Amino acid sequence: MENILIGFANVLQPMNLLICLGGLFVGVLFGALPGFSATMAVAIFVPFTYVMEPGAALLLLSALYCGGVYGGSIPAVLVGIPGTPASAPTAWEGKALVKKGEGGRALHLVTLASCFGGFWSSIALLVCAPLLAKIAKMVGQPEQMFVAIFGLSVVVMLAQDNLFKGCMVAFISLLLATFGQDPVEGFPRFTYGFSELTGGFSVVPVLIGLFSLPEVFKMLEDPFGKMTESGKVGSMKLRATDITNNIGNAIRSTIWGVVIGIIPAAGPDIAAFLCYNEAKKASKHPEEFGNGSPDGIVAAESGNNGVTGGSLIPLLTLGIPGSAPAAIFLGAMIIHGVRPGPTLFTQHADTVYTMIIGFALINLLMYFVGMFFCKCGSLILIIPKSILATVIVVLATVGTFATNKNMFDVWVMFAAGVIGYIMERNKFPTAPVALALLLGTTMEKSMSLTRTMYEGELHMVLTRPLALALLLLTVFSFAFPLIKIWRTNQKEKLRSND
Amino acid sequence: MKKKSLALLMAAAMVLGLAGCGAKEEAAAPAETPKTEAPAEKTEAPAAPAANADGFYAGKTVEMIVPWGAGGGADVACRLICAEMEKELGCTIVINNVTGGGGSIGLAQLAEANADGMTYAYFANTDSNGDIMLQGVPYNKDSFAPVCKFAADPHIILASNASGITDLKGLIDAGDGKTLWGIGGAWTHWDFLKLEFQDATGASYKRMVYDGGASVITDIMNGDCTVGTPFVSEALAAIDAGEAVAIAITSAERIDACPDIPTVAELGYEGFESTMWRGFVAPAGTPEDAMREFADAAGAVCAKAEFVAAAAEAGVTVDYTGFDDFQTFYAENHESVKAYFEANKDM
Repeated sequence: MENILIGFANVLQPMNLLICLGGLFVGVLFGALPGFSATMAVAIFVPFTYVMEPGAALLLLSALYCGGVYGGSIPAVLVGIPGTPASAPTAWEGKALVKKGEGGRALHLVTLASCFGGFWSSIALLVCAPLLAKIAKMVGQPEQMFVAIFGLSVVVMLAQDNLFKGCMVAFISLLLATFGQDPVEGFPRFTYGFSELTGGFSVVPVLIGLFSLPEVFKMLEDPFGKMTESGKVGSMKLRATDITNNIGNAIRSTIWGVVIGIIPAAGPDIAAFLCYNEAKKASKHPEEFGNGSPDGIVAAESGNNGVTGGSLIPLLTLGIPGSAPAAIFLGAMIIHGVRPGPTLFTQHADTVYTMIIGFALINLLMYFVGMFFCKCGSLILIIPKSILATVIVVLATVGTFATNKNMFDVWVMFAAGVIGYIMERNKFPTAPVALALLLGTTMEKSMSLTRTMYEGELHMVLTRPLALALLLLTVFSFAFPLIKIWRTNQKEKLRSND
Repeated sequence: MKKKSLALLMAAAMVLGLAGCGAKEEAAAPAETPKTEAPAEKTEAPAAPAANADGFYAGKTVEMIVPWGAGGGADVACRLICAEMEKELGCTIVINNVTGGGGSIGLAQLAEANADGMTYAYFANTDSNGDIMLQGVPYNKDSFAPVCKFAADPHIILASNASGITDLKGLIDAGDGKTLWGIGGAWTHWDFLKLEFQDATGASYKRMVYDGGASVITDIMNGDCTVGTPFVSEALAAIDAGEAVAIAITSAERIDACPDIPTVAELGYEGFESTMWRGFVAPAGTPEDAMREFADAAGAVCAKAEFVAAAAEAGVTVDYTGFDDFQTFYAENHESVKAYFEANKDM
């Protein structure tokens, strides 16, 4: 308790508050630019923290991390380009709401849900970190494999309207995910002599191309009509029902987010997709999903921000990073001589509690910083589409190049854009591509490791309780939408018989 | 028309507003760089009093390709030394993380870079054999000009609690070919350490290849993997938490960060030493004078006690080899890695 109070006193020092605010501003900016991610924001600022006190340094990095994860959703709503893959579900709903002229409301929902998820995940970090760290120890390779398969079951839900096309896209994308070196021997597959393909397709360029360019092409279809028009921002005000209907949804998604954060191989992107899927299953109006559902935004946002606190739990207690930015945190903490592990909470109590209390405070401050960015950013909608289209192409190109500083990625991005446009015109869903690329590599890796572990007796995997539970959950998740379709069909049959 | 000009006005207002935000940030955090959008960041502004003001590098900007992700062991080591070398050389060193393909994509980029002394890359034990170990790699040993080595990091051999292995003897007794030995990346130094250990002790273990040291440690903690060889900075948290047993360290002598852990050599395998070295290379054909100046600057940094201490805290064991000695070292290392690989590639 005393440590918590010391933490409060440290965080509330004016200099530290300024660091939190500055970190948030930069973090949100990084998240909002496509191609720049929370991971990059944290990585770039690590060297600047060398001269700072450990507590202040960790506050800055935390602010960058939280801001970066949140910031990706602003362009997702405004122009339909997810700043980071974790904002893809928000992009579908946000785009639809903007078309209805409710962009302001969508942005406010995003901000509120992000802060909710982030805040409660930091409370989880403060209150029950050692307890939750046990989960991290239970998750081995077989469990990671089942988490990935479970994640893929989302495809069935996302592509409910056209199951055949959805599954086909997912299968082909899973095949694309196997391009590049295999995870065990490093043998290059499907590289066709391009050394750039040795590492496989990077997810970010494909997603930027797939989600942003088709929008531009659609604008070009009608150069003289809609091109000269501009959108409306709409009021930032929320409806009372937005909050009352979504409390349960937000709490469930935050819990999912924290748990996904603890699991080493899964990050904010997977949490966003899974929470979106769970919300759709639980929703009374699943037909609204994809057409501007506030529930979908709340679920994805509280889920992906819930990861922030969750991923620090195994990091602080066991030194295991739960996500890519958490891995950079680990490096930074070691450089500052604050080594994670059980001794952290006794030897460096003041630093670590400053960080945890700061994490909660940062998520509260994020609401105000976020609303400020949303107000500035929403003016984008007033720009005529002819200008906006150019800006989107420039941003997509620069963002893709920035990820790896590699021209090859830019060509991949453009190719993905053209293919995405053809897919959309022929009513093929693009969402399964994102999921399959994000999960394919993890799945392959954990599958081959599981095979090494249980060579010749793979059925022994089922003796692991968590793996078995995940398997059952997956079966349920695959079957649920099918049963639902079947039942509505039955009902319709009965009705037509009457 | 009116509407259009209004829109333009608003757009201008937005741009100004954003610029305003930028200004505010700078005021809020003066220590941060104002260039947040720059894709490749500076590690530090050029040091004002250049130690080598009339040198080849004074006032110039050097690109350092790190073929691994930001925040990892290679990246941290590079950033630490480059920040100091900037002061020695009086130049700016821009770190460029080019990831993918087990480091081969970044090194391919270096091999194609101009050999004018303005581009260097981070390099480690197994990289010169990339063309033999990984198919489709466009460079070979002769694509690079070795410059210097600045660190050599030992591994700690860890065993899981569930395995019941508590010392080196127990580990060797368990070496029946079925015990799982976690590798932090195919054909990185982890693999060669395992081969060297098997050669020295006569035991044999089953190879289990992961995508990084952190995953190996996680699986040792939960008992799925039996043995692993993480670097010191990665392993200490698990040892302190009592979640894994430290068996031995692979350096020739015990190190300050963990003085209680015995070396493999002192436990009966005299002369056993296996460390992962970290160094720099330039594209083949780079002027020798430039490379010498670069190597000497690294040497001057490595001689500073405070740098050695800071590096040790980050888990980097400073061990400098200068330009001339490194030429032979590079060639010998290449041959030894190649021999091990060819003898074991069918595993």
